[in-house]
Amino acid sequence: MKITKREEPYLYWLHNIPELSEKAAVLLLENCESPSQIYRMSRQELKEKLISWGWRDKVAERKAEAFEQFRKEWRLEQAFEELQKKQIRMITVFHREYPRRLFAMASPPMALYCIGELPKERDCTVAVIGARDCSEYGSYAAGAFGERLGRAGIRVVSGMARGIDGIAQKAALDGGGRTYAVLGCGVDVCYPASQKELYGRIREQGGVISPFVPGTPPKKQLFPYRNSIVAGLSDAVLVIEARQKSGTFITVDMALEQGKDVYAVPGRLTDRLSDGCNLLIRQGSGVVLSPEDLIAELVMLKNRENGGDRENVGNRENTGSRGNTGGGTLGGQKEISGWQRKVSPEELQARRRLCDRTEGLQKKRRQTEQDKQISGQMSLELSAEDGILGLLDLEPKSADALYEAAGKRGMQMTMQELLADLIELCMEGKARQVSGNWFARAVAYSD
Amino acid sequence: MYSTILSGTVLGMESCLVQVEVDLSAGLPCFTMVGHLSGEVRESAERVRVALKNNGIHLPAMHIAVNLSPADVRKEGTGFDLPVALAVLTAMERLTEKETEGMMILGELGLNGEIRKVRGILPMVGEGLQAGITRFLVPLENLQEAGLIGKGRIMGVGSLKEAVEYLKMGEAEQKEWEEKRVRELEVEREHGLWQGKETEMDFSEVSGQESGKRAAMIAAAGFHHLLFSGPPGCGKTMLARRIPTILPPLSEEERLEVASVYSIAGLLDGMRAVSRSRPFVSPHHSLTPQALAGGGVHPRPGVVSLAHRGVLFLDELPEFSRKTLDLLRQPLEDRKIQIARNRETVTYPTEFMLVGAMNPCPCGYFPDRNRCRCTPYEIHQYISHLSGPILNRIDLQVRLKETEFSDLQKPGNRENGESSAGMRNRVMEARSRQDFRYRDMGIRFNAQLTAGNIRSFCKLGRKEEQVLEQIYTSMKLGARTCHKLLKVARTIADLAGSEKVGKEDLLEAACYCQGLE
Repeated sequence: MKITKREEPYLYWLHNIPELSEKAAVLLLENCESPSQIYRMSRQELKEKLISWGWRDKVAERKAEAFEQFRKEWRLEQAFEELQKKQIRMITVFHREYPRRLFAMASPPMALYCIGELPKERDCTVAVIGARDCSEYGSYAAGAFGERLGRAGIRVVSGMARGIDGIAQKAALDGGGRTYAVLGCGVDVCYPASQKELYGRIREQGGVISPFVPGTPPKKQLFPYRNSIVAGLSDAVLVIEARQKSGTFITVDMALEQGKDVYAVPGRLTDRLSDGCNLLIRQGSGVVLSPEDLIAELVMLKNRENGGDRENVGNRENTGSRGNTGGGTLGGQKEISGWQRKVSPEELQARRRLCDRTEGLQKKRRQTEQDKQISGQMSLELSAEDGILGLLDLEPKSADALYEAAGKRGMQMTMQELLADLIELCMEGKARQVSGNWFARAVAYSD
Repeated sequence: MYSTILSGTVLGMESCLVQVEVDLSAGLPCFTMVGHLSGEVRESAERVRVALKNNGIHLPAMHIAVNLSPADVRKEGTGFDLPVALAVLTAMERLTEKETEGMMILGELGLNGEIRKVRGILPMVGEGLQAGITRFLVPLENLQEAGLIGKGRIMGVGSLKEAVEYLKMGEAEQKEWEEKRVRELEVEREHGLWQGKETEMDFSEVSGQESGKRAAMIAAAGFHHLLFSGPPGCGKTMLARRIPTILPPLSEEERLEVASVYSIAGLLDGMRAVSRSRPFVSPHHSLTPQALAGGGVHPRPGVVSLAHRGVLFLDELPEFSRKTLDLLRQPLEDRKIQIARNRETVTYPTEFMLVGAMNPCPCGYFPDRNRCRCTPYEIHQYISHLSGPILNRIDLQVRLKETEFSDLQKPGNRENGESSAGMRNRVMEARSRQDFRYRDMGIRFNAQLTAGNIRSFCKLGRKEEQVLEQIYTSMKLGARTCHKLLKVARTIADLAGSEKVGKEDLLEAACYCQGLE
């Protein structure tokens, strides 16, 4: 269907109708000539159509009634102008800009609203996701990965939530990259409100995206769909810190369904916040030990994609059923558990081709190694330190614990001396005081 | 017939001499009392009448008028029963004016003529002594309290009969009886009948928590307010309870001050009266604002005043209601609290050391993310109502870590850990340095330094100035925090026995001044 500019307000109206589900809207669009024709449809006509698509009488009646009611209330042009005033763009599936990646989703959104821009097809995008209440380790990792990815020109997609999401996105911006935030509410609603500053920056340096009509308040039930769009917009998913039961796994599951690769940052066995990641690793996800690791993987992935291994998935016909995603064979296999993807012959071939390329990759790796040495700025390893700094960790420790540790290492000092030394380290920027007399190693990006 | 007897009443922390005047005149038989009286004083007419009757004295069928002078001062308390009864007896010519002349009389009467204790004896006796009165007749139960000042001739009597008997005696016999009473008191004291147990706590019992101990010592030395934060069971309360053991004992003057407050509150027991250890008050967090500040229709000292010269320990600080905490502002700032009620305004002293204890977040385990799942918002909410009134005024803030088994296990903690006695010695040394430094200043502790005079007492060398500037900029301190830091650094230097505030002192102080948010 070709949508002219004149039809756009009708499309916006259609998306706004309460009660009428997105599924019904899509079906209507597929079966009518234009949105304006739908607008002119009578109540009876709509009801019949809905019943013919399998809705029950009562539901169809209710939908048709809401439809008619809403048509009376809605002011077509005005509402659409308001959208533009707020600098919100509506990108529907008919739009050229609509990210084709999303067609891998089971049900791609009919329209995306966005302030700023959408990720481009050729962009390499990665979703960096994780716990909201992350540990110091998590926030450090999120910051380091975000920054490095941003600098490497890889687009970070996430949910702008507190914790890992927000930190990674902020870091990506700091690294000079672009980042995209997918919200579980309207794009004009800043949720969580505490991310106001980040929200503003992402609008300028990337885009704020939502599949929900502007003005939608954040609701619990909207977030899983938001997560699936995060997965849909990205080429791969990186999990930094997650508990065993966490919303992060919705994104991960969606990504798997869509045939995306999942990577996890390993953590300690004793950290509940790393349980999720470690579990993912056990199930076979990719392990990344440094941002360079991930970048190399992503480059490989992008090469594979450009090499034409993937089928053209931007096929509108697929969306009624499940999106089939070339490389993986996950289409319609929701019950698939874990990571044991069936490997299709095509994929095997692709993998073989990948092996051929490893030489080039190794070269690339060596290069990144060199880069690392030259810049010397971004290594996730903490340098070994002598003295008190050596006692400190990313996780804050109390002065008492440090005092004991110092004693065990045979450092002879009183509590006073220890505290004075610690503060001195803080002043030098090597350590930081967390709260009260707790101290941690200071590194770039530990929020 | 007219007669007069001296008595007294309490007005806030002050007290005032009261002249009890009785006149018997012909007319309709009645017993009227005038002189700006509160309810309990007015009721004394009935108690006096019945008590006299039960002791075989029937009031004459005359108009009995009682006036308590000065008439414009509100009288309250039950101490007027005995003076009224004796004045009536004098007016009836059963006693002579001479027998009660120059004597201050206080006491509550039971219907059987028994004399019961009254509150506020100590400040009233003090007032009497200042006015030149040398003889006092008080309830037997209050004898010890009245004797705290150690001046004047004080007699304690247990019943109206005894009182009359005593007054009728010759001076030599009276003195003999007085001495006998005091001796009896001492015997009682020796048998420990009323003397409660002195605290037997010691800092050496605390396992680990070196930084907590250190902070407690600094706080005690400079009389700084202190806040402990830490997971449940890490020993916050244990540390706080031991702070009085390292504070210097009450001086004679302070002891009377504290005893006066307790006397007015009616809480002065034998132990408090003689003890030189500092009060330790730890109210439950359901405390109402009135109970904290003091109040009631006739104001009485609240918790903040009962902690005068001692420690006010608020456990679970964030659980206190916002209103209650807000009330702490004036006491913390002015070291006294003024309570205005219907007709009167009273002022009570509140020079206490605030020790708070709190969990770092609602569940208590932050920043251990394995156990704590509190969101930053929840944590912010949890401590938000502290920040304004309290946190700003607390000089030392310490976060304690959880006690591990290895801490408990350490052999011979009692020998290893510094004992209260040793810590107290160091605190007292630091105190004497402060006493000397502030001798003409009207302040006594480092914590009392103001923005105006802090710089003249915390003189920094050029190198130290640089360090301070570095701390200020790198840790993003504000002006207020910077003052806190200087005050604490001053105390740390005092503890180290140095008149100069050094770099190490500043650095250590910086550790404690960082807010807990």
